[in-house]
Amino acid sequence: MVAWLGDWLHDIIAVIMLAVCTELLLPNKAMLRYTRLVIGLLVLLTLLSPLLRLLQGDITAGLSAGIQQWEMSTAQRQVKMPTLADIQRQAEDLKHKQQQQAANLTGSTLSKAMETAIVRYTGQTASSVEVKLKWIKEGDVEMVDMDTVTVTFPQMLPEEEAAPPRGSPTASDVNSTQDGQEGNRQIEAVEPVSVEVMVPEVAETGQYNSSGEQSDSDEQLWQPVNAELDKQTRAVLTEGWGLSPEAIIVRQPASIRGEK
Amino acid sequence: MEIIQIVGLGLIATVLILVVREQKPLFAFLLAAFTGLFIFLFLLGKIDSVIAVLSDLANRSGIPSIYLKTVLKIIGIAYIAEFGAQIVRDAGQESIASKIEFAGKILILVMAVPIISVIIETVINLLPTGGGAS
Repeated sequence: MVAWLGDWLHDIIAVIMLAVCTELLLPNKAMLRYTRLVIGLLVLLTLLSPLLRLLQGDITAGLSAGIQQWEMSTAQRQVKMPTLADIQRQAEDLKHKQQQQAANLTGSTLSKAMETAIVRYTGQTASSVEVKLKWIKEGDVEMVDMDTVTVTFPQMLPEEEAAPPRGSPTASDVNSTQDGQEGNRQIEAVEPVSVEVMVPEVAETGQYNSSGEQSDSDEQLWQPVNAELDKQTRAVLTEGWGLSPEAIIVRQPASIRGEK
Repeated sequence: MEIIQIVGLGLIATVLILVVREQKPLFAFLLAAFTGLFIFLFLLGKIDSVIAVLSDLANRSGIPSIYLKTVLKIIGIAYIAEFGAQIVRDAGQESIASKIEFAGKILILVMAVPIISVIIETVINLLPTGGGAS
């Protein structure tokens, strides 16, 4: 009850202060009487607000709805025409959107083509090929060009690769080379790792799991693939699409110790 | 120190107008109008801070924003009407100036229409329905 009374008094004091400030701001006495009428009505509305709320729900909503309706009826008399600048800005927006869509389509088509080419020449299925595009300004026209290409291969065990990975080999790498060959053949048959989820394939072999949990020093999510595959992939992309070698990233998910 | 600038500008404009008025009354009027416009625009930025205080007050005290909007509209109409009426009055057209002021008053009263309608609606609801009950 006291809180409600306090709220009410608070409202009244605020409206009256607003009224005083408004009268101070007015430029001359001629408008004073009329302004006083309107502001007096506002104060009256505030004073009556508990009563009004008791009788018929929310008055503020009704009031704002009334004012909006009033303004709309006056605005409808003027024909609203979009200006030339509006139309041009809209056209610019649409053009930009269209360019963006075209670039996205180009990117996806390129990455698909690259994936097929990599499979054909290296015999390894890449789990994902991401093409990053950049915008080049030539005169007035903006053209799209390939910025970087990231090729992600499914994770491969170090011992089936010809050379050890160039990333720092850790204890688990050394451990795993002592494992038998039969585990690796089995792993190759498993479907490729999806990059985002990062499910490690090696989780199926128990020995790997145990050795992976022993060493958790390496926190890298990605590691380079073996040198030959890297070279082949780079050659395919450089010859086929004219990319500079430094714009190509070839990688594979780090083995299980990376995620632990 | 803006007051020195404004008073200086006003004095210079007055002297120039007195000089020019004898030869070209039209230019004297234009000079007066542009001086008035300049001072008006110059002070518009200052009024901005006062209005910021008002809106801050309204926000903090939680009074409906529709009240503040109405009040600000009243102030704006009053200022613009006053300014236009003064310029026209300077040109010697007293009757047009009073018409402009009249229009300002009417537009301020128009602001009150939704408020009055809400109050009247409530008062009518307050009365016992059906006059025959008495």
